[in-house]
Amino acid sequence: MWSRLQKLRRNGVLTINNRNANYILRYNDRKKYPLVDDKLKTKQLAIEHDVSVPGLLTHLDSESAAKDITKVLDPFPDFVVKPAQGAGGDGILVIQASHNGRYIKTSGQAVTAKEMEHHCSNILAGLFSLGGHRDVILVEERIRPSHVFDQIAYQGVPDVRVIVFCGFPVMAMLRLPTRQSQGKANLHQGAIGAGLDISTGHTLQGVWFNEITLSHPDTGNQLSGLPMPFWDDILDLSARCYEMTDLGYLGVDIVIDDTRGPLMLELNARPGLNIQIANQAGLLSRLKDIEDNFIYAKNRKIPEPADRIDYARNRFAAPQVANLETGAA
Amino acid sequence: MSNRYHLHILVAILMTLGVALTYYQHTALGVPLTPDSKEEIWTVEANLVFDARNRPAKLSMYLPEFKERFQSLHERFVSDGYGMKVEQEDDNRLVTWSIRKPEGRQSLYYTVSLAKMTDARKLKKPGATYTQKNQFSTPIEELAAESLTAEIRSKTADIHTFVTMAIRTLADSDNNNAQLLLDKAVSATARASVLVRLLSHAHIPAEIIHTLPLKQGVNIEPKIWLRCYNGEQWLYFDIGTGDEGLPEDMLPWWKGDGPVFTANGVRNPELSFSISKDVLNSMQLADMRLRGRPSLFSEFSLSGLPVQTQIVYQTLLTVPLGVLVILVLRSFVGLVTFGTFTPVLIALAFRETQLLWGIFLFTLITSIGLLVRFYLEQLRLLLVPRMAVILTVVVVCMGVISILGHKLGMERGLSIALFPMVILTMAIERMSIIWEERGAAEAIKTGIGSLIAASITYAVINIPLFEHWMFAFPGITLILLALMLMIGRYSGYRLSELSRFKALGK
Repeated sequence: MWSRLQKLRRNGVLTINNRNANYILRYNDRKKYPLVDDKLKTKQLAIEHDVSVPGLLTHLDSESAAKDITKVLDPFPDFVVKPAQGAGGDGILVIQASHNGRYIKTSGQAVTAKEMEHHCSNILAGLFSLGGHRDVILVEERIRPSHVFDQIAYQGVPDVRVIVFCGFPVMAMLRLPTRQSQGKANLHQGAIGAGLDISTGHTLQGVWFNEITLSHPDTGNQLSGLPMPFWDDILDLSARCYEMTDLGYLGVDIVIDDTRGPLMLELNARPGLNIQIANQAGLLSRLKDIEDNFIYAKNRKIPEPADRIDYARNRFAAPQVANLETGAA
Repeated sequence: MSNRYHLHILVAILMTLGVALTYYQHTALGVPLTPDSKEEIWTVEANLVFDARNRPAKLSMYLPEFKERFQSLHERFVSDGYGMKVEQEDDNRLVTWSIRKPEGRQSLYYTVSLAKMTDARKLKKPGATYTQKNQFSTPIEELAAESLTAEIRSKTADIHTFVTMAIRTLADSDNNNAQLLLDKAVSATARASVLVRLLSHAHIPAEIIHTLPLKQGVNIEPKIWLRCYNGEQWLYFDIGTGDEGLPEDMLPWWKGDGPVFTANGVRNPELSFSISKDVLNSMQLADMRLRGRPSLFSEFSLSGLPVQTQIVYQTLLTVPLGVLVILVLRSFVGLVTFGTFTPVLIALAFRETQLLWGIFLFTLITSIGLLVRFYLEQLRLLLVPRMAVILTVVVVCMGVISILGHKLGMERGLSIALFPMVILTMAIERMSIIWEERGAAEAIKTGIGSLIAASITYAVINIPLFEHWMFAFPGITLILLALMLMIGRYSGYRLSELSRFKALGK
């Protein structure tokens, strides 16, 4: 047990207590939390800052509106219903089609109009919101996922999680829904996280429930070595979220729409730590690198987004990349 | 960085304050460290009876002084209809009762409860001064004393041996000088008084002291002791054997060769001492001591509150301890529980139900609540009404369990009423959401985590020693506060993370 502790320390693994005490509490101003906890605010802010986001179809904030939800939803063939202040992907309903007053989820299951009304009233009552406060329903355009991940994604929409520290994209992973996660890209619910090489955007090995996995449990396809499309755009989008929110320690979730390319889906002021397993690398050493070279440096100045991306790509390249490429060849 | 020093200084201040306060309470005020340490407490009753002669009567009696060895906790005079005053007369404390026209058999009482003094409170006795008042009356006696003194001095080295030798020589019936000095002295008091005069002759300050042996019983006889001042402290000598040292259970009552009481205008006065012993919880004793000595502490102490409120605080003050346990479990171990402090409240309920019953009842109620919750899911109720329904169902369930338990003769079933039902309702709601969103395994894991946390918390706060410390020493709470502040900046690993990140530990 002690030797494992030593190894974890040597690998610079960031832990919950350390993340909370030295990063979230220090770099994330609590006043700014509503910007990321309320997805409606995030969306409005993103549009102001020219950060691409999925289109907002409508939003509802009253019980009476929920009663007429079917009417409100009528004009849209497919859409996503989500609580503005939901956490961990809870309460999100992705509808791919509506048919005879029934809504078809991406899993193929049908949702009746009554069930939809009930779900919406639960959202409004704050069942899914962090503090149990009253909430707002967002109805968003559904993402049409790019087909590049068809081999390694099971239903749902894969997304990219980038940890952005003071504007530097320090670590990233691709989150792939599984049968167990019921199409959701949330690691706690059983989605797979595949590490992404910051330098090249190639996938590395995956993590599934804290364990390393080399292939997707549902499709059986190999996870590593795939090039991530739009990698430059993804890095640019996530790096700019720092200027947008002014939050120092940020998780940026990005999806790739078949027609619109990378879109910023949501932000997280308390991003999880399993990304380290997927990347087989500790976050702490990378965060300290940034702190030593920029935050505690003599002339404390955060460089422009493009320079930050260059720095991160040079500095945080995955060591195994060379091996993987020769292995693929 | 200044933030860091700020925290360290705050922690240091709280720690020092807490430790100092606890130390002071323990040493100076005698608050015991263990809850069940018992101390003896004696109640001495002096009963003065006499026949009144229908004319003015005046009675005085010496009272013990509590300057060393013992401490009076409570003194009481029972003397209805009598004028009474307590005053200092030379070396003694004296009570005087007086009445104009008493009739028939009269009875006066003086009772005192006393306990051994705590070390820190032993006062320094003012030194005795040698006085010339105790002189032999005739030249022959002077001469005999002179030669006795010389004889004893030649055989002894210091005051200790001198006094012992003097007592033994005086008791020697073959010693002519001794017999001459003891000529008319028959009673023990008279013999002691000759001894005092002899020692005075040798320039040793000495006096007679009457003591009461503290043993349970009635008609306890006072015993005479001799004490001499050696310049630093009083040395006590057994007047019969000459042995030095006063036994622990001897209560000094009065000094000098006078009788313990004098009575004027009455017939057949009689004084009897009776003694009873109580074994008192040290905590109660510390309280009684405090009450006898008003201080900031006795005024502003929890034990000054009404008993009912005290019991409430005895429980409430264990909450910080329970919270600390949860803090450790979450920050260092990484246990997942429903709500941050829910386990503390469950643990408080366990105190009433006992552990196994508590776990059983908690599981039962939560399971019933979950079933109801799953059923309600079909009805599609709004959140707040749904919670209200579950809360009501929980209360009804608790009632039913109590009734069934009572009918089946399982009185433990009654204690379920102490479960925090609102907390239970929240736990049920949270659990059902986790159940739906994350699956049954996750929900049950969190439920078991909460039960484990509650059980550990219960085990800690239910230790009588801890409960006693939290209640008796407010300083401990400050120490806990300091510990919590320190944990607040802990940024190291959690035990659970060792397994979570095992894939990275290569």
